Amino acid sequence: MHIIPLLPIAAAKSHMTGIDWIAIGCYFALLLGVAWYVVSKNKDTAEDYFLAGRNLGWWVIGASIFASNIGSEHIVGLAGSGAKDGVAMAHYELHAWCLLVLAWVFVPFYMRSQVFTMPEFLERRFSVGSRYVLSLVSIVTFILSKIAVGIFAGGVVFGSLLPELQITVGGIVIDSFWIGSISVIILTGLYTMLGGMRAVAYNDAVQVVVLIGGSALLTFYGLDKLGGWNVLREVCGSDMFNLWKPLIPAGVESTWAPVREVNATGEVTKMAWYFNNQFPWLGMAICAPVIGLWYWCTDQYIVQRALGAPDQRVARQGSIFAAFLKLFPVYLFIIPGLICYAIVQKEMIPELSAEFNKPGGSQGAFPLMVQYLLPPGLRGIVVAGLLSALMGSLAGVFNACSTLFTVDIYEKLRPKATQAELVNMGRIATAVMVIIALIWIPVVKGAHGLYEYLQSVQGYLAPPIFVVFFLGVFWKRLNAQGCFWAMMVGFVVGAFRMAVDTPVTLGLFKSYPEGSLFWIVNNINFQYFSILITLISAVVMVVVSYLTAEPDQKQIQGLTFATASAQDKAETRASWGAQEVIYSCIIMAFIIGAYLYFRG
Amino acid sequence: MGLDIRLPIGMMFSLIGLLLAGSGFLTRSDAAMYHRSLDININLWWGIILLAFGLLMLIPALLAKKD
Repeated sequence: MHIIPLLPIAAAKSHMTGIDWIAIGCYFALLLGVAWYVVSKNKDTAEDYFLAGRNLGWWVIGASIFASNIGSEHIVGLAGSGAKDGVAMAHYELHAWCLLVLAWVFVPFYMRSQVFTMPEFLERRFSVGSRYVLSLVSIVTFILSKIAVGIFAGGVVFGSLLPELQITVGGIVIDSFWIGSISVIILTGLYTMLGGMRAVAYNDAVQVVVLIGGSALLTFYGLDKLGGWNVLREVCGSDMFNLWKPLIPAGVESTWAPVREVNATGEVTKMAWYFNNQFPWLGMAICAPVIGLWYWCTDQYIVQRALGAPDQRVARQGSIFAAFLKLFPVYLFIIPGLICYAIVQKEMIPELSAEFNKPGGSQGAFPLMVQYLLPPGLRGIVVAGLLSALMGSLAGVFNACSTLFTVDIYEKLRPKATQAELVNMGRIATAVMVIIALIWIPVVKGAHGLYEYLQSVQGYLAPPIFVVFFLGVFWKRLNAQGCFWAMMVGFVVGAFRMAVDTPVTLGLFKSYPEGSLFWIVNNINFQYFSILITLISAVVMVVVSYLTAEPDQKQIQGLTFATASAQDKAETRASWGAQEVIYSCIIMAFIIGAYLYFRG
Repeated sequence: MGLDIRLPIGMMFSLIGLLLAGSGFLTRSDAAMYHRSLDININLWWGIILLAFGLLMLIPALLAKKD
């Protein structure tokens, strides 16, 4: 009996050599050694465990933010997306500007409040009820979007590198995907539990150098193999280099009615414009920024890094450095996917083409490129970097989940809990979340693509959080009742969409009855639905706030733009530096340049 | 806090650099292996770069610890 084989590419042979495995083994031995070393210097307080004692330097903060973001789901998912759909998903990676919003807009509020978690900030701005809702929504989001996706990506990497690996336990055959997934979880959990965020932050700094260096070499050698950038553009065609896809595909009649008509050959001839799933520019232009601002400015997983800074200036500098690093993923992760596609089209490496052309094979574009384009030794280091990126982002999520559950839920229920008890509860909670995520993996597998799945889940769950944080900071009249109901209603609508999608994604049936409500909901482009959730949440927040009493001005002192004191503003202004402004402008110029270049 | 971050990071990069440079030195005559990397012994050169980076972090950290 086989555990569900999740990888069709498992029939091929591994190309990893002894040198590669020695490199990987040494790399992980060192990672665990660092964790052990950190433990010997560690204190036992929750603050030290969770926030590294609030004394991280700017470059550690920036590298940690970047490395926490860049997991194997990015490298694997982005390259897979590039190999399949070109640069379409690059909208989600040109989000360095969102980090600049964190640096210049949100850092002052977070540093001023000296909070552990984002829900704690929400409690101070609104109410305890808002905090609980956010904690629960965040934990659900982490499990479905980060942990499950990270594990799946790790499994894809292992399946690509060690396709022959399998073990038999009690008559059940476990393939390389599951072996890899479980192994990475255990390793990650080990060093997270041992060292907490401090070990995560330090290892993140190392992984950034390995990832960027290794990916750059892969991109360079890939382009050389192919024949250069112009050849890549010629083989891929203009559509794969276009960020601004049309609202409706060419040759299809657009309509407002909820219909999808096909001709005798199965091609779509008429369709509701909001059913178009080919990454139309309107959805990208509005939805991607909402998700980006939620992720980089309000998500516990990322903001926790900036909270490790001793003051506003260091937090801002770290965020700007992270923004600079965030310029690279499009060129280091998406472009290799296009290179892989082009190499396959030109049939330059038959073995690679054979793996790529299997169902779902394009998802393994990056590990396939590593196997076939890099020499042994360096290949092992890049693979180690790939695996450690997975571990880094998983570790970050484990730590964030521990923090959220322990500080925002458990400590509220048991206020007399000791520090050691809090740390232990965090570990137990993390283990439970991992088990749930493992059960969810078949849903990830059934989605259109790993990276698109990630964005869709975030698109359904994140908008209410984005709304309450951003409107809460900029609009002082909005109160706790408005925040609470905005999140509740938004979460219910998002959960409804996920519940409608899941049976179809799992393949329980092909489609709902055409024309039915569920069929319409299931077919709406996920980005348009995300925008709908954002609008609903915003309207609910404003309406409910104005129908109820305005908030206590003393309570929200310093927590909105309008209620910041003169001293607060002076302190923030004093933390600005000319260099930070210049670097921010340079980063914006690069982003605008990318949007202008990738127009087909 | 008591922990100089340059120590663990410097250690890691130095050791990985040594490993890679060492394998590059030992395989320097294997032309077929480095055909993929434009006939450049990329293991040796990348190993040297990582080792240099590691020492750049490690040496100041050890000197500071000594003080």
